[in-house]
Parts: sequence; C-alpha cells; structure tokens
Amino acid sequence: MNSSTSSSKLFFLGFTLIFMVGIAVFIVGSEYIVRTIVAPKSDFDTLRERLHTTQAPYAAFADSHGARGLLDQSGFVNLSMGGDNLATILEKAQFFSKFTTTKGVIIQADPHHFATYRLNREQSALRDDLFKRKTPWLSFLRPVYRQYLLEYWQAFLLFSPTVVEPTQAIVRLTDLPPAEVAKTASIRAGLQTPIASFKQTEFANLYIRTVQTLQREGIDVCLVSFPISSAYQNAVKKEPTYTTALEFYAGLAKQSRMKYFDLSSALGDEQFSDPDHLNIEGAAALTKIVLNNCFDLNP
Amino acid sequence: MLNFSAHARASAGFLVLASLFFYGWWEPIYLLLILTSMLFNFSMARTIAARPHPSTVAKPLLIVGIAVNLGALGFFKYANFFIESFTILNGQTFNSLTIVLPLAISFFTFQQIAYLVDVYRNKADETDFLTYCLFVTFFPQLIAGPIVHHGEMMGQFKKAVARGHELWDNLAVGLAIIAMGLFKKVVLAEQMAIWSDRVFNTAQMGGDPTFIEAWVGVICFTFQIYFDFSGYSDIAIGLARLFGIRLPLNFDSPYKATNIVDFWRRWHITLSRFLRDYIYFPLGGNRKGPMRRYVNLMTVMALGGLWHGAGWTFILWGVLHGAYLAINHFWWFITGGGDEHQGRRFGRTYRWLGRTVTLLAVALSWTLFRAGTMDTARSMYGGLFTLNGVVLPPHYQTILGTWADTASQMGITFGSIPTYGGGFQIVWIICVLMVVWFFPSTQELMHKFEPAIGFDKTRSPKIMGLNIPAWRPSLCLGIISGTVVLALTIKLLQGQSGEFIYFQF
Repeated sequence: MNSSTSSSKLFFLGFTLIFMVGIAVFIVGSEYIVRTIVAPKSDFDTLRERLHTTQAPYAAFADSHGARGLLDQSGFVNLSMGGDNLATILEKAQFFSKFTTTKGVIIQADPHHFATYRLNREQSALRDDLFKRKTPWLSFLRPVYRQYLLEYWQAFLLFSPTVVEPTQAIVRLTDLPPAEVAKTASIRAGLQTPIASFKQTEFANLYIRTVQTLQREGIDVCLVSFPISSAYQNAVKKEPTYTTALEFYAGLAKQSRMKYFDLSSALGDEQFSDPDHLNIEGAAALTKIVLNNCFDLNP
Repeated sequence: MLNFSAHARASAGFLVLASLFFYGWWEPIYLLLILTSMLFNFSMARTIAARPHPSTVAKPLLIVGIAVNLGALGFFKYANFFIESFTILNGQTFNSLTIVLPLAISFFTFQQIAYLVDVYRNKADETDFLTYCLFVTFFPQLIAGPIVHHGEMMGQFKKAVARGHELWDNLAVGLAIIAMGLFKKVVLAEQMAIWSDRVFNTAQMGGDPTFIEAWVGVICFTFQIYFDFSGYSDIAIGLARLFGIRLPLNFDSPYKATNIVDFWRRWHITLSRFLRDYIYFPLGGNRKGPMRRYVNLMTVMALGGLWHGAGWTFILWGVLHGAYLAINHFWWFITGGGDEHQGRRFGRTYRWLGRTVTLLAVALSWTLFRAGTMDTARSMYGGLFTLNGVVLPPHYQTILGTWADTASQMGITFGSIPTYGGGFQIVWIICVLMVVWFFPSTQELMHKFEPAIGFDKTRSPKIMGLNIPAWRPSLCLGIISGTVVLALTIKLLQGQSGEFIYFQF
C-alpha cells in the first residue's frame, strides 16, 4: 500500500465513521427528545387534536393575537395558533366548517397578515400535518418539530426546559418602561407593515374567496381586528397601508354583509403583556366582547 | 474496444437498476416514459447505424428520431405553454392539460438527440443496450446534468471496476467533492435564497419592490443560483466519482468571466456545448457573415432559454443573452478583437472592468430567469430602475444629516424596508463576492486527482494570485469533512433547504 492509498483509505474511514455514528445518534436522539419531552407539551398537537375532535359550534381562527387574546368557553373553541399565516387560518376555518355542528367562525382581520414576512411564510407542510388524523411514524421529521431540532438538542444537553411553562404572574404593559415599550412597538410595527399592493396578493384573494364561501355555506362569519396597545397604534399611524388594510377588511364585510369589528383600540394598555398581545385579563375581556358582538353569546 | 468484463457488466446492471429506482421514486409512472424513450432511441440508432453512409434512408430516420424526441419533450414540457400563448394571441379559451413535468426530461432528451445525430454522422455506434441505458440513466447526472456525451462516458462504463488504491482515491475524492458541493448549496445558496425569495415572492404576490429591495433581491439571486448550480455540479461529480466515473466539467467559476462569451464557456458548459454542436453549427455558425452569426446566436440562445422553462420569461432571458453575445462579438469585430487578440486584453484594469460589467449584465438577466411571470419581471425591473421609488431605512435620515433634506427633494423617502436584511446582508454579499472572485474552484483545489473531464489539471489553486496547497487526503481532513457533511445533513433534515434550481428543468 503506497502513501496516497493509505491516506485516501484513512480519509474515507475517518469520514464514514464520523458521519455514520453522528447521523445515527442524531436520528435516535431526536426521536427520543421529540416523543418523550417535546410532543407531550406541544401546543400544536393539542390544537391538532382539538381541531379534529371539537363539538363546539363556534370557533376562532387567528395567529398569536387570537391564541393569546381569546379563551375557550362552553360552545366556543379557540383554534388560533401563534405564527399562522392567512392561508393556514383560512384553511383551518374551512376544515372546521365541514363539521355538522358548526354554526359560526371568528376570522382574524389584522393588517399585519399582509406584511412581507407573513406573505413569505410557507406553511403548506405544516397544514398537511395539521389536517391528517394519523401521526407519522417518525415524529422528529414532522414539520412542526424538525425546524427546531437543534434548539431541542441544545435545551436537552443543557438540561433546560424545552417548552416554556406559562408564568402565573400577570404581565402588564403599563408596568414596563415606556421608552422600551415604544421602541419595541416601533420595531414590531415596522416589521408588520402591510405591503402597498396587498390587495393584489394571493392572500387577499384567498381571504375574500374563503369568507364568502363560508358565508354561502350558511356559516355565521365574523371578522375581527384584534386589539393593539396605544404604543403600537402610535407606531402604525406612520404607515398609511395599515389603515388601508383595515379599510379593506371593513369594505369586504360591508360588501358581503357580514359582521366586522375593529377592536384595535378597544382595550387599555394595562390589559396587554406586550405592544400587540393581550395578557390573561385582556383575553377574558376580549372574549366577552367578541362572543357577545359576533354571536350574541354571553360567556 | 474495451473488454466489457462480467464484473463490469454486473456493476453497470446494478447502477442502471439503482438509477431507475432513484428516477421512479418521485413518480413511478414516468419510469415507462424513460424506458420507452431509451428503447426507441437505441433501436433507432441501431437502425440508422445499419444503413450504409451516406444513405437516403438514414436521414429520414434521423429526422423521425429527433421529431419523436422533441414531440415528447414538447408535449410534456411545452403543451400548456403553447396552449396559453395561443389563447392569448387568439382570444379563444382552451383548457390547459393536466401534465406533471417528468423529471429530467430536458436532459435525457438532449443527450439522446446528440447520440442519434452522432450515430448518423458515423461518430458513434453502441451495440450494448445495458451500457446505453447507463449512459442515459446514470443517477448522479440524470436529474440536472451535466449533459454527458456518449464519447466521454461509454468507455468509462465498460472499464473494469476500480480496486486497491484507485478505489480508495475515488472514494476519498468523491466524498471531499460532495462535502464542498453540499456546503455551497446548504450554507451559501440557502442563505442567499432567504433574501432573494423574500423580494421575488413579494413581487410575485403583487408587491412593488423599491430600489434597494430590488437590487439586493437580484444580487442575492445572482449568488444563490451560482452556489446552487456549483454545489449541484460538485455533488454530481463527487457521486459519480464514488463509482469511479468522471463527469465532464460543467461549471468553471463563471463569475470570473471577463466577457459574456467567456461566461458561456464557464456556465453550464455541457449545455453550451450541445447548443453549439447541434444547433449553432448546423445553422451556419459564424461561417455566413457577421449578421447571420448574430441572428444564429439570438436563435440558439432563445432556444436555450426555452429549454430551461416553458415561459416567456425564459425565452426573453435567452434572447437577452443572445443580444449580449451579439454585442460582444460586434465589439470584437469593430475593435479587431476576438480570441486571437486576447493577449492585449490582459491588462488588469481591462479585465476587472470586463468582469464587473459581465457580472452586472448577468445579474440583470437573472431577474427574468427568476421572475416566473412577466408581471413579476416588470415589477422587479421597475424597482431596479427606481420606478417603484427609492426608500432608505429610517436611520439613514440621521446618518445623512442635512443631506436628508436634499435626498427628500430628490424623491427619496425614509421608511421601513421589510425585505432588506440591513448591514448583515451587505456583509454577506461582500463576502460571497470575494469567494466568487478570488477563491479557487473545487476543481482547482482537487486538480491533482483529475476531478472532471475537460479540466486542465495544471490549474493549481490560488487566492489573489498566491498559490495555496491543493487538497490531499488525510485522516484529519476525513474527520473534518465527515463532520461538515454531518452538520449539513442535519440542517437538511430540519427541512429548511429548498431543492436545486436546475431540478425543475
């Protein structure tokens, strides 16, 4: 064996050993972490289960504004999920509308769904997983988990919790330094500015088509623009497209004769935990307002 | 003729089965298409080869063979495009057909047309169907090229399987090249894709990118497609090398090109070779005067654009490159340039000016390639040429100070630019530009091991003119490469990487 052969052989053996052992450990470890630690506490799996089994006649569909802004009640289920884009929200509403028990749906009508980062968010794989009843054999490859595998490993190796437990203390925006709140609100409002030509987007067309189809099918459709704090409102005043987007939802509701409530300034800052998410007190208050206005329900 | 031993035959048989399995994994029904295509073309080639040359029968047979191949390609890839174009022109509505584009149809069709033409020209005659099948289906290059030529592959497929030092060298070289290709795709191309997708997708959804957004989007796509195709080409070459097969060079640092002619000698080299040998030369090439040459260039490049995709944006992309080539040749014509005068163009300033202008021209053309629809392309070009306004990030108002008022008077506004990644993105762009312009290619790093057919193995690796050590196998490098590939595979498992751009063709 000459030296080149022996070097090539050593290269191959070193490469193969590291790769094969590493990939085996990663696959087995990832499956273990996801199955035993992450999945049992997963909001996604809980929501998936509720979406498939709920008997409630009314449901809400939104992103984190709705997930943290509405509370389940008798006859009402909140099927909102943080990070959902409009396609996911609307497909979930359509899925729910097929149940024989369904009477009405609340659909989010917030301008930030037409912001660039939302329009670009690809969630088709996530939706496929959500609408399937059967869980795939390898859990760690499910879209909801696979994107966070490295974070799970990091938390697992550092013995830190992989799922943040909700705190019992109520966070009030008014307790936070105003300058910090204004800065955060400004950054978020900048990120969440709708694009100028949002009415021409696929999402806008999908929104119009879906809510009108649901209405034709006899579903009571209620569009809701969720509350935002005063700091956030001040920040979005600079963005004309924000107002245009609210007008788009209002115009659609008027044209289609469906209910629409712009609740963006309905609640005070003490009911927010950050510039655009409600705390638990805010959620309780909003739930009453929304259910009462949309469906004459009194929780 | 090389002795096609039983061992080599068994290996070829295994590779054909593995390649067909690989091909059928995505859409099993299209196995029938590729099998029928291979049977038809092999039979046609045998029939043509059996005729005496010249013969009055061979030519019609060749025409039938080419027509059937182009017919299949036209049906599967272009039927809906023609229907839609006819609908627009005619005003009548025709229903589109439900056709799923068969994987790699453009590649295996061109490869087989070239083979038929060469059989007709008496330059090829393969009698063994197994070898022919391997030539068409060999999985490392089946999906996205390179478009291999029978002359450079058949002999290799019949060679005895490597053993001993050749086997270990092939494995080490193959794995090292795969590692480099994966790195280019998963790290560099994917990072660029995040930024370019934001802009192009926004434009596709009806948004109008402003000046900065459009430019960073186009620049990022320019580097995305570079590293995507370079990475794919490396992986194809590396995979083939694991089986002891050398593929032709398909990508040779194209953004180092100092003119557009040079660019097409470096980008998708095997496609350029096909277009030159089987379309440009038969059309007359440059033998019928400069005007005819320019027309031929435009025609060939328009067809090259259409080969990439069934859409007007691809055709226009091809036409634009045809125009670039015509302008390049015209420039040489009026300045007495051309290959024979390259010597006087070796001045550093001239080369860098040429390199910059070429890269800029190529980047502008990629806008059409990526856009997908004419509306998207219009919107992107609107942004590039300031028609959608110029918006600077809000903090520039502070940076510019009193100049901010002047900027405002010029129509420049200050506001959020959601698709722009800020200084971090600019740093990335500068870094990848440095890599593209100054770093050696994979082939240069591996030059001692003859990584690809057609690569000048005396080209040693250099960074800014300074020699650096070429790649040599060792245990340490094996462990590092294994770790890199492991990390990249984990990133792939996270599902955040898109497919190779050239897979769609």
